[in-house]
Amino acid sequence: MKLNLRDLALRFVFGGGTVAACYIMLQIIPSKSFAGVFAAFPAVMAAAVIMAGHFGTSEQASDIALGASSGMIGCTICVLTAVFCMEHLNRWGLSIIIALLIWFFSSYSITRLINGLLGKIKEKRQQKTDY
Amino acid sequence: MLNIEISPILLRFLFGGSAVAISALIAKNFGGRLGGIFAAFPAVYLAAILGLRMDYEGSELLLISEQLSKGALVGMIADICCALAASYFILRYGWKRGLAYALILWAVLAPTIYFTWFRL
Repeated sequence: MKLNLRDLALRFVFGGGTVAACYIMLQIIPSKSFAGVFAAFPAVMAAAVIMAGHFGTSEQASDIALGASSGMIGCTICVLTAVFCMEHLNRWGLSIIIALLIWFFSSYSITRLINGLLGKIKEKRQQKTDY
Repeated sequence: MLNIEISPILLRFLFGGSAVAISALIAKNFGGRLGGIFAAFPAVYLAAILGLRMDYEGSELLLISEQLSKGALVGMIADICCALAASYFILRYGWKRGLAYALILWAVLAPTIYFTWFRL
């Protein structure tokens, strides 16, 4: 994974902007759950795609977007766990710790699955270009 | 009239930005599969949830966190669709237009899912 200062700065601005926007929405919108939608804005994916598209090719940017979908499934399971634990355990800190543990193991399994899929897609692309 | 102070917004901007940047650095340092997993660390969500602790306490903190998480869950479902759409659109229209179309899709899809799920 290549990471330079520009990449890091773009991720910082996008990530920070999203959290700040979520806070503003929390203050403006009476419905706190609707403001939560903005906490899931795909800021990190957008930053990664911009960097790949700008310094690489559209194919690389497309692969990054596809790879990000596996991470997002893990994040969805993490948030689902957090909601469940907050509802049933009524303990804020413990709920977040359990959600992060579940995130790690689910992301690991899903990443393995998607990497296998990406490998097959790349193989097919390679075969097409060889012909 | 809205009365929002700048310093809490700035604090959250720095907090969220740092969380994303640190997770990217961890991903880079670990490398391989573990690095790939940390590249998708839910830093923005976590920063938003932890940021609530600055304003709320006890049962109110738990309630607001739960509500924010329910919204984030909707956003995450829209994220998966957005990422898959981005992968397709980028190959078809190039990365700039492809990413723009995917983000527009997210902006339409997330509120649609939210209002369908919570308001019906």
